[in-house]
Amino acid sequence: MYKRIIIYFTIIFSCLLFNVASASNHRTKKKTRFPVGCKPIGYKFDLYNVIFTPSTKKYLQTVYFIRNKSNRTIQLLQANDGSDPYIINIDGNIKPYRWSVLSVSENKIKYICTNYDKRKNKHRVISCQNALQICEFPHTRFGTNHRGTYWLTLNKSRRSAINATRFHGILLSDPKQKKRKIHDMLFPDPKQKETQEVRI
Amino acid sequence: MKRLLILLIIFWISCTALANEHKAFQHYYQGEYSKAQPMLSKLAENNNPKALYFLAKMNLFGYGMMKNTKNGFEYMERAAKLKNLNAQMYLGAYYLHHEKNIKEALVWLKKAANQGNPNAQMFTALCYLNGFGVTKNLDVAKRYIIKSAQNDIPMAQFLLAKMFLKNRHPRDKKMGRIWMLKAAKNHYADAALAYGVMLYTGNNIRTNRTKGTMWIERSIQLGNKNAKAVLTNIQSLGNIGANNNLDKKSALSLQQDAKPQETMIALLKKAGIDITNPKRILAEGDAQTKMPTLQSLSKNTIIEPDFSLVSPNDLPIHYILAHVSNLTYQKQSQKLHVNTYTYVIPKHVKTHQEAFQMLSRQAMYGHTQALFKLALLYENGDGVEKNKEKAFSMFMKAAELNHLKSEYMVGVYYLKGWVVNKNNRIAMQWLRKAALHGNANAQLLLGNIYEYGLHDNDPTQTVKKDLTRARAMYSLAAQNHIPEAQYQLAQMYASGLFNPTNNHKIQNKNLKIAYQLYLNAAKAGMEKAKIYLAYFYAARNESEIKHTYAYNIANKFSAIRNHDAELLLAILYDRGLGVQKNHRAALTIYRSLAKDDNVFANFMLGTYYYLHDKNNQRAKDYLVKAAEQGIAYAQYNLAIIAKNNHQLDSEFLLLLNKAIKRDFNKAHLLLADYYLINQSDSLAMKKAVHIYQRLSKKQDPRAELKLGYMYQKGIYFSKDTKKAFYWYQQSANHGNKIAQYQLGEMYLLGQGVKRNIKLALNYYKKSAEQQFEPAMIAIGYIKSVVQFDYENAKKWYLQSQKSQASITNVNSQALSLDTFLRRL
Repeated sequence: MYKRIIIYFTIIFSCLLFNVASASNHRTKKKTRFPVGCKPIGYKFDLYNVIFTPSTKKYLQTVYFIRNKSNRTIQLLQANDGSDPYIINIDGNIKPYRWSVLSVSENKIKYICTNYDKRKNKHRVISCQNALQICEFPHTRFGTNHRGTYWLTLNKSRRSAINATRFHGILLSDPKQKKRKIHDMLFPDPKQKETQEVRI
Repeated sequence: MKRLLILLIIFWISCTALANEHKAFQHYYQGEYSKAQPMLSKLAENNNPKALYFLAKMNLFGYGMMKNTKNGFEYMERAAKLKNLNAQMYLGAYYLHHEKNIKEALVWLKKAANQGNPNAQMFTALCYLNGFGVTKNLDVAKRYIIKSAQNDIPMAQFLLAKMFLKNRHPRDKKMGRIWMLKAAKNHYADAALAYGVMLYTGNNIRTNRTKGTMWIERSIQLGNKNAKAVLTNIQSLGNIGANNNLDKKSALSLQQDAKPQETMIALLKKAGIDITNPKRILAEGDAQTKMPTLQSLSKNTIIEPDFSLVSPNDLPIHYILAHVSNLTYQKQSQKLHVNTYTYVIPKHVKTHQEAFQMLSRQAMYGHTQALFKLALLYENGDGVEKNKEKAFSMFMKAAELNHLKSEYMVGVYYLKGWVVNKNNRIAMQWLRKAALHGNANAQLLLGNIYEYGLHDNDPTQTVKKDLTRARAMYSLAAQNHIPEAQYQLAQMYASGLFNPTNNHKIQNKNLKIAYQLYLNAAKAGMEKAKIYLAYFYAARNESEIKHTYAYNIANKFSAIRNHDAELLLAILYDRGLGVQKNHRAALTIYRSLAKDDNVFANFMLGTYYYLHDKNNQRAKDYLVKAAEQGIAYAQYNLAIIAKNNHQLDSEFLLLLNKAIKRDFNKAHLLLADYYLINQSDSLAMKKAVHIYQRLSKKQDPRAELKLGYMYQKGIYFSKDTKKAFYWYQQSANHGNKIAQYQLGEMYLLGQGVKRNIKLALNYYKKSAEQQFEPAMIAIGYIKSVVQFDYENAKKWYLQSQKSQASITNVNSQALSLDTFLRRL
C-alpha cells in the first residue's frame, strides 16, 4: 500500500518538476515580441555602431523602442558625426532585458554602445548588434509640445514603456497617417512627380 | 502497474519496429530473392499478407525460383483474402483482361474499392451502373461514384455532376455546377462540352457565351467528336437544339451489340483509368527469370580516404589571402597615426593676422570654436608668433568646455609630451573621451595604441595590448570613413586574427566584413587596399569582369615589385582567370618569388616539381620550406607523398599529425578516415569519432556521411538507423552525393524511415546529377523493377555505362532490356 503511494507521489512530483523546468526553459528561449505595430525598420547596425535613419521621411518624427538583450547595463552614447564641433548629450543607460523609448526628429543619429564600469570609471565599447533589439513605429502622431529628439522613457517593461509613451500624448499608430500614406501611394502629388522628373 | 509497464514496452517495441521494414522485405526490394525466399515463407506461414503477395509474385514470374503458376495464384488469393490491396488489384486486372471474366474481376476489385483505391471504385461504380457481372443497382453505383469523385477521377465527377443537375433543388444545381467544373478542369472532354453548353445556353448557370465557346473549343481539343457539331449547331440553330443534341450524345452510351468486357475496357479507357498488370521481362516457360539486384555501396566507396595531393590550383584563394594579409600585418611598422588639424582661412578674411584678431575677440567671450582655431594659429605660428604653450592652454580651455577636436588635441599633447610632461594615463583619458564622443582621429589613434600597446618604464604609464579594444576603436573609426582604420581593420579580419579556432562560419563572416572594408578603403584612395581587394575578385565564382579587374590590379602593382601582387599575378596566370592561361609565366614568377622565400611560391613549386617527377628531391625541399613557414597544405602534401612513396604508416601519421596541429580540416578528416577504414583500436576510433563530430558542427558533409555510416553499420556506436538517417540527411542537404545515394537506398528499402519510392528516386537523381554512377544504376533498377518503365531504365543504364564501362551487371541488364524492348 505504502509502496504504491510512494510511487504515485514520485510520478506526480517528477511531472511537476518537468513542467516547471520546461516552463523556465520556455521563458528563456522565448523570442521577444515587439509591441504591436512596431517594426524592425528605420535603423542599421554598421560595424560597432547603430545608426537611426527614420523611415518616415515626410513627417519626420518617430519613436524607437529599444531593448537591451544582453545581461549587462548598456550605455548608449550619441556619436558626433564630425561636422558638429560640440557634444550633444542624448545618452542613455539601458538595464538588462528592459525597454527604453527614443523619440527622434532627425534624419540620422549615430550611437556607440558601451558597458560602463563604475569602479574603474571606464567605458568598454561593444558591438550594438550583439546587445540591442530595435523597432520603429512608422505611423506616429505627436502633440506639438512633445516633438524633438529625446529619451521618452528608460528601463521599463514592454507594457509600461508603451503606457509611458501614451502618457506623453503620443499616438503610436495614427490611423490618419496610415490612411494618408496609402492615399499618397495611390494618388501621388503631381507637383512632386514633376520635381522627380526634373531630377532624372 | 505491471500491466501498464508491459503495455508501454510493447508500444515502444512496436514503434521502433515500425520504423524499419522487415529484413525479408528489404532483401526482396533489393532484388536478392534467394535470400528473401526462406524468410518470406516463414512469414507466410503466419499469414503475413505482404509476404504472401511477394511469394506469389516470385512464383508467378520466376523471381529467384522456377516459375510455378499454381502456387503463385494460391499465394495471391490468400494475400488478397487477407486484404492485401496489391494482390486484389492484381487479381482484378488478371480476371478482367486475361480471363475476360468481369464477375470474378468485380469480386476482387470491389474489395480493393472498399479499401479506398479510386480506380477500383470507378470500376465498381461502372459495373453497378451498367449491370456488368452484377444486377444493376443505381444506389450502390452512386455510392462508389461519390467516393471516386472525391478521389479526383474526372469521369466520376462528371457523372456526379449530372446526377446533381437532374434534381430541382437550387443547392443540388449548385453542387452540379461545381462538380462539372472540376471534371472539366481535370481535362474530361465530355464535362468540358457540357459545361460549355451550360454557359452558352444559360442552362442552370448565368449565361456567358464567350466562356461557353471557350470550354466547347477546349472539349474539341481534348478529342470530343460531338463538340465540333455542337459548336456549329449552337452558332446556327440557337440554344434549344444544341441542348437536345448534348443530352443525346454526351451520355455514356453503350453499344447494344458489344460484349460487356470490351465495353468496360472502352469505358475505363475513356475515364483514363488503368487497371492492367504491367508487362514484365520474364523468362520463357517455367524457367527462372534473371532479375537485376541493387548493390549496396562498399565500405571503401563510402569512406573513400582521399590520398591525393592538394594541387596548387586547388588552393582556396581565401586561404592565400588570409595568409598573405597575416604576413603583411605581422611585418608592418607599428606606427601611431597622429593626425593634427590645420587652420583654413575663411573667404571673408584676407590674412592670418586679420583672422587672429577676429578669433581673439571671439575667444574673449568664451567661444570654444574660436579658442580651438586660435590655438591652431599659435601652434603653427600663422599670423602670430609660434607658441605651443599658449596653444596648449587654449586647447585645454576649449576641451574643458566640451570641444571635441580640442579634447583630441589635449590627448595628443600629453601623449607626445609636447609642452607638458608626457603622461600616457592622462592622454588616454582625453583620447577616450574624444573617441566616445565620436572623434574619428581619436578613435584611430586609440585603435593604434590598443593594437600595439604603449610601453614605458613606469608601469602606471604602460598601456597593454588589447586586440578586442583595438577592434572596437577601429570599427568606430572605420564607420567614420577613415581609410587607415578601414584598411587596418580589414587586415585584422582577413588574417584570421579574430578567428583563433579556425571556424569556417566565422571565417566566411569575417571575410565578408574585410571585403567591404577593403572596398571602402580602396574607394577612399588607399592603393594598398586594392591589392587585397583583387584577391577577392580572383575567386573562381566571381564574374569575368572582376577577374579582369583583378589581373589589371595585379599587373599594375607587380610592376613596382609588390610581392603580394606578383603572387596574385602568378596565380591568375596559373588558373587562367582574367587572362589566358600561361603556366610557364606563372612558374617564372613563382621562381623569382621563391628566391625571396615566398611561402606560397615554395608550396606551388614544390607540388609542381613532385607532380612532374615523383622522386624529385627539390620538390620535397620546397615543400619542407613552405611547411616550416606555416602552410598546412604543404605539411599535408608531405604526408601524402610519404604515403604514396610506400613509407611506413607511422611516418605518414607523424607528418599528418603535424598538419593537424595547424588545425587543417582536410588533414583531420583524412586521419579519421584512415582510422575508420583500418578499423583501428578503440582509442583511435574514439579520436576519429571526435574529429567527425567536431567537423559535423562545422557542417562538413564528409564528416556527417561517416557518422551516418557508423550508426548504420554499428561501428563504434550501437546500430541506430534513425540516427544514421539523420546524419545522411544532413550530409545530403550539404550536397554530398554518397549520402544522397545512401538516403535513396534507405527510402527504397524502408530502413529507418517509411518506404517511399518517390523520395528514393529524388535522392538518387540528386546524386546522379553529380555524376555518381551507382546512383544512375539504382535509378535504372527502380525504373525497370518497380515502375516497369523499361525505356527510361535503359537510358539510365546506358548513361551509367558511359561514365563507367566495366560494370558487368549493368551491361547485361541493358542488353536484356534491349531485347525485351524489341520484342514489345
